Amino acid sequence: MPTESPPILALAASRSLRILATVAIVHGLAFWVATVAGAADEHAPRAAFQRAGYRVPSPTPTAAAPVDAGLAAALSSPSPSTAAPRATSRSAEAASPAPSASPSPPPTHPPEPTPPPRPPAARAWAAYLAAAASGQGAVVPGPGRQGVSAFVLGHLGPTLALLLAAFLIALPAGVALGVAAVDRRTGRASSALAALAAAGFAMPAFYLGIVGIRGSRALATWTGSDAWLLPASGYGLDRHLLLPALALAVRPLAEIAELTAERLGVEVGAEYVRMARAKGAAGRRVLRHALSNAAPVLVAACAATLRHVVSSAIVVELLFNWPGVGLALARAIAPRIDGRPPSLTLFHPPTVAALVATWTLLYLLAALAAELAERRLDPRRAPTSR
Amino acid sequence: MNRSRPGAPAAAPDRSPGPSRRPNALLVAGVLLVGMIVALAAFGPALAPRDPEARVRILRDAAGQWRTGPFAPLEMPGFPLGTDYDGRDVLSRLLGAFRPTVAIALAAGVLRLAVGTALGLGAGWLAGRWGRLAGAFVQGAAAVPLLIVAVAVLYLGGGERGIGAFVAALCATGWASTALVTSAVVAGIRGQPYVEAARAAGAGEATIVRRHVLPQLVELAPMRLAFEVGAALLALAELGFLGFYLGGGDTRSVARGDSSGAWQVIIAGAPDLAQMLSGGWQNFYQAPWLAVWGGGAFFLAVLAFMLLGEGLRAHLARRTPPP
Repeated sequence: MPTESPPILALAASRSLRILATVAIVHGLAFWVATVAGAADEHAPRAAFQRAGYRVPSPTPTAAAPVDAGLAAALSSPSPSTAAPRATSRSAEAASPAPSASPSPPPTHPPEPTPPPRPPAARAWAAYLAAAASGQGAVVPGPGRQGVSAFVLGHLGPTLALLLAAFLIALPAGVALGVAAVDRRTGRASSALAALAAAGFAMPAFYLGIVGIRGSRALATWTGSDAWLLPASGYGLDRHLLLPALALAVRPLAEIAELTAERLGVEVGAEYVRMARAKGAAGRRVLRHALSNAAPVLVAACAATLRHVVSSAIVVELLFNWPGVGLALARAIAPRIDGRPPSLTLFHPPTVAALVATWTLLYLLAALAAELAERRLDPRRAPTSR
Repeated sequence: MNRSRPGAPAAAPDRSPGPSRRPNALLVAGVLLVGMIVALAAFGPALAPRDPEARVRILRDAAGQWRTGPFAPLEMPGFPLGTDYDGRDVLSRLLGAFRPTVAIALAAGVLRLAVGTALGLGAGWLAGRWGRLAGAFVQGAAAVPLLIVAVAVLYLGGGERGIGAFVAALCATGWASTALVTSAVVAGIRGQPYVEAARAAGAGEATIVRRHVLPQLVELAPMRLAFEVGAALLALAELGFLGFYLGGGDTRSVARGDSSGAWQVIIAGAPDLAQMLSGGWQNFYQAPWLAVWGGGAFFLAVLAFMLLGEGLRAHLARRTPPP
């Protein structure tokens, strides 16, 4: 064991650097896209909502003010001419930095009275990062006036609970299904499993959720009870968890079952199994050996399928109104998700960037953990092998 | 992956990889279903009994009563699958919807396969700095959830959301899973003794790749293509769920009959599956059949390609035994 730990540590260190770089790039890209989309949005969907009779809140003041500290100071400083036309306000702005002599950089753009023009995304990102580093991050627009990090952390718990529940369902059920589908003697998987797996791959998670909601509603109607046995929306670590977790678990379940069957098929034909059989080992004991040899592959498969689960979780959280990162993300990037007026966080660049970066970080950390676990679990890996 | 039930007489003790005479049920089912989907895409619009964009808001039923839509399935004669929130025949829209959606998925699948294979080959074969760079690129692209990237690309593409924008959105990082698989396969080939032998015999890198690596990748390509088309369809379904579909569409509020407010409906013109799904689940409690039809059509289409992929995999596994 002591010979093995330094490579693992070195691997973790180098991977963490790569993860940090990836997350930073993703954060910047998301910031940029949110800025561009927000600018374009002022023409298309927002206008459509206004035509539909909604009072659409303007995101621009809250979006721009916390990012640009200089602009915020310029706007909040009591100007003598409140109803001044544009020319005088610009001249007052030009005069104001001289007496104050603040060390902060001058505002990157002239302040307009009502709609301040958006700064270029790259500069806004740099300003945002600088402000966040100095401890005054952006505020998420909305009722709570939370900071971005508090907002994201508040949404992280439900998401982690949901993902954990989904894998707690998928892993045992998938392994059991895979073991059941393999013929112990020949090591061949029944083709019914492949058909089931194909159905599992093909089932969109939200469709299962919709069917589940429908069924749950029919059940409530049938029993005449007001309380739904499986609630269709809302948050709680109880019955509320079941339908969304099931909807998310189908895809990893199919993948794990198929992979278990495939690995077992390989292991059953291996030398050591024949040897163990010849020595008179019972089937269950052989199975345990074969499963422990298949474990690293299963762990890797869990990490790989997490990619799809994390993507579907956005949609599932939206469907079940589950207050996780995915729901916040869906509200922040999709203007017309459920016929309601757009969320205040729509295209707010710091919020969108933080949510996307969190989502990415979550996946990368899980993949790293799986890679490390794979190394630890593999009984055949020589300590010196790369 | 080979078919043999415990009671099946023919297959029990035989593990020889020779060609089996029993038909591959998965492959047959997949080919049939994919043929059906493609036929729907090709001939569906011609089969539609009504104009998919004609609106019928009020009809007299068999008892002579005037009824307002949306009509449930079988509620009105002539509308076997019901009408949607805007009074349009769901069956006609469904028949017309396969063509654009399947076209997007097929184009995205081909493009994903090409890009993914090329990048995976680079990441798996190249050594040193370039190999590490390609590997990091593939890993990074795989890390960001596809849905987020697709939405970002759709926004960058502007308000006109045509087929090209969707293909680009699905391919932006959609090639990553094929690249991961390909790079693993190629890295496995790289350590094989025959590659070493070829190198010792003086073959150049390009020759080895052409002669030993590419044929194996080409053999995998149909299976990967089927899976990629299925995955692209799934991603299209999720995009539709979030309200992203061909052409965008416009929002309008329609008064509910019972004066309990207004439905927010999005009026989209030409049908595609994602749009039907989108409108369906947004009015899920008022008209649940819309989401059921739209989602069911997606399920069937994805299932067809996934079954085809599984069948092709079984076919490959039958010819070459697992290591």
